[in-house]
Amino acid sequence: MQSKKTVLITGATDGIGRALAKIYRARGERLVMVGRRTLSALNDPLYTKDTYCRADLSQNDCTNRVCEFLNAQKIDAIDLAIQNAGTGYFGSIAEQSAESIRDILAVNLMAPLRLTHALIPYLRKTNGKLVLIGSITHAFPCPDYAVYAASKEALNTLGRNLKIEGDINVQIIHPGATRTGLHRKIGMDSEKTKEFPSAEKVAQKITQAIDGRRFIATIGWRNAWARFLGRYCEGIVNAMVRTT
Amino acid sequence: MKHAVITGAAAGIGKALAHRFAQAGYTITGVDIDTAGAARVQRELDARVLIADLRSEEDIARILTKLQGKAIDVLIHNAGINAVGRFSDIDIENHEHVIAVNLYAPMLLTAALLKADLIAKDASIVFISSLSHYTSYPGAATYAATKSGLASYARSLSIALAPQNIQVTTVFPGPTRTAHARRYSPHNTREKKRMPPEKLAHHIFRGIKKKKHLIVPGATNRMLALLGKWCPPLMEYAMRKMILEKL
Ligand SMILES: NC(=O)c1ccc[n+]([C@@H]2O[C@H](COP(=O)([O-])OP(=O)(O)OC[C@H]3O[C@@H](n4cnc5c(N)ncnc54)[C@H](OP(=O)(O)O)[C@@H]3O)[C@@H](O)[C@H]2O)c1
Ligand SMILES: NC(=O)c1ccc[n+]([C@@H]2O[C@H](COP(=O)([O-])OP(=O)(O)OC[C@H]3O[C@@H](n4cnc5c(N)ncnc54)[C@H](OP(=O)(O)O)[C@@H]3O)[C@@H](O)[C@H]2O)c1
Repeated sequence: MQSKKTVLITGATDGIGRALAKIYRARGERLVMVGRRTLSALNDPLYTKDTYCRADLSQNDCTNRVCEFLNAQKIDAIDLAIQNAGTGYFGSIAEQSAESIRDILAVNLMAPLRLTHALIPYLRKTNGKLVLIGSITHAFPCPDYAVYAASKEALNTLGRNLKIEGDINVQIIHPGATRTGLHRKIGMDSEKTKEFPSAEKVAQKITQAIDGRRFIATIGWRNAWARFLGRYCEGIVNAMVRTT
Repeated sequence: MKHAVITGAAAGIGKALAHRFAQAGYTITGVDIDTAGAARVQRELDARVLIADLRSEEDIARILTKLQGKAIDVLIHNAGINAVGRFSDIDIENHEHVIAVNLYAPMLLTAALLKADLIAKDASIVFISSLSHYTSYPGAATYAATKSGLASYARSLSIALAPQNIQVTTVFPGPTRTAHARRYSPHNTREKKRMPPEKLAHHIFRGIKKKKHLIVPGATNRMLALLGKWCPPLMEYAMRKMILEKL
């Protein structure tokens, strides 16, 4: 029998992250779930004091929180670290506050960077894998959520260069639109989100991608096509976005 | 008189841009952390250089108040720093500084200046990204991340601001003969091959006048960008050999 793997997931309290956690728990892996909510507010047997680490990823000390937790749990090796937590802002660029810009860069870019930096020794012990959850929006102009898309593009480039440097095994996964609480949280009209695939379905495909070897994986073939067009037919896509 | 605001104007590309725009009759306001360099530029050009550390939100707030009252026709986000080495060998503070100066500061300044209505109609907002966006840059993963993030932000911004007739331009310079390049390169034996900042400034000036969205200055850089875009593994291999393995 294979021994249990240790899987760390950030942003595991909602949406795609929670769905991923459920899949890995069903597989019998040892979970380390990171989120900012309190354990009592979560009120779900999935989260216990041995599996849930409370850390606000927008804060500088988030890595200390995670490392202290790993220490307390006597975990010194990680097989899979999924950097999934994310946040955003929807609206006019001129109206976006400094706090909002700071928060998005902190959670979507700085926290993955910090955690990667801190977790490399843990991942090396198992020859484990680092997964960065991006978004297909990184390949598009996004006038209503420019900072979010930029944070995902930066994450994509970070992953690409980490891979070339070759010190750790890294994978970037770009989901497309998914039915989660994210859109409501960032102030986007949530009527449209009803048509999006569920977090469970997307998480299932993400785990398949993680089991596979593709370095950059886009979830769903339509999204893969859209991402290709956004990257390689910049002018046409820009014109399309401009007229909508 | 038209008004150009240039960050990192005390040295290198920013200084060359200040000269180029002053030559075309613009009033120049620079922003820089380097007091001595700023004083030199002020002597040479009769420009105003605001001293600020773009890593600091207080400093950014301070320069925003000093920019009140005079509409900006050209805003150039040029200040940038690098941190070279293998990702895990670089202190987390240095990674943070690179993100603060290269990505957070331009976003913060842009949003605040738009909100304060200080960007003129028909203005240009210019972002100095890097050729690394196309070629990759192992040994400077965070720097490359910020430069790609900047390119993405500029792309979104150009569409958001089109109705106001504000033009957004992204520049992807290759190796340029500045202190920045000298400081961060593994070897400086080929320094002469780097593009002089004055030449780059001229490319940028012309590109802005032609309302270009993207500027990859110089034929060699354009070829490298194409290779990097359409055949990433080749460019990535070359970058690993030329940069990473020589650090
Ligand atoms: N939904 C989509 O359409 C979509 C599309 C492409 C990519 N993605 C990406 O997929 C990832 C997951 O998104 P999702 O749709 O599942 O969103 P979600 O339902 O809002 O879940 C995001 C998770 O991140 C956590 N989080 C946010 N800020 C945090 C902070 N400061 N500290 C700690 N945890 C924090 C959230 O905690 P709380 O529960 O406390 O808010 C939540 O657990 C994100 O990276 C997102 O950008 C989503
Ligand atoms: N040179 C190249 O080969 C090359 C290639 C591609 C892209 N670029 C980009 O072009 C831009 C300009 O580069 P450069 O070569 O001209 O660099 P540079 O010679 O180092 O000049 C940059 C200027 O910005 C200032 N600066 C640095 N940190 C600052 C801060 N926190 N707050 C305010 N000002 C700050 C510097 O001051 P100090 O000197 O005191 O630090 C300097 O005066 C950068 O964004 C760079 O990434 C350069």
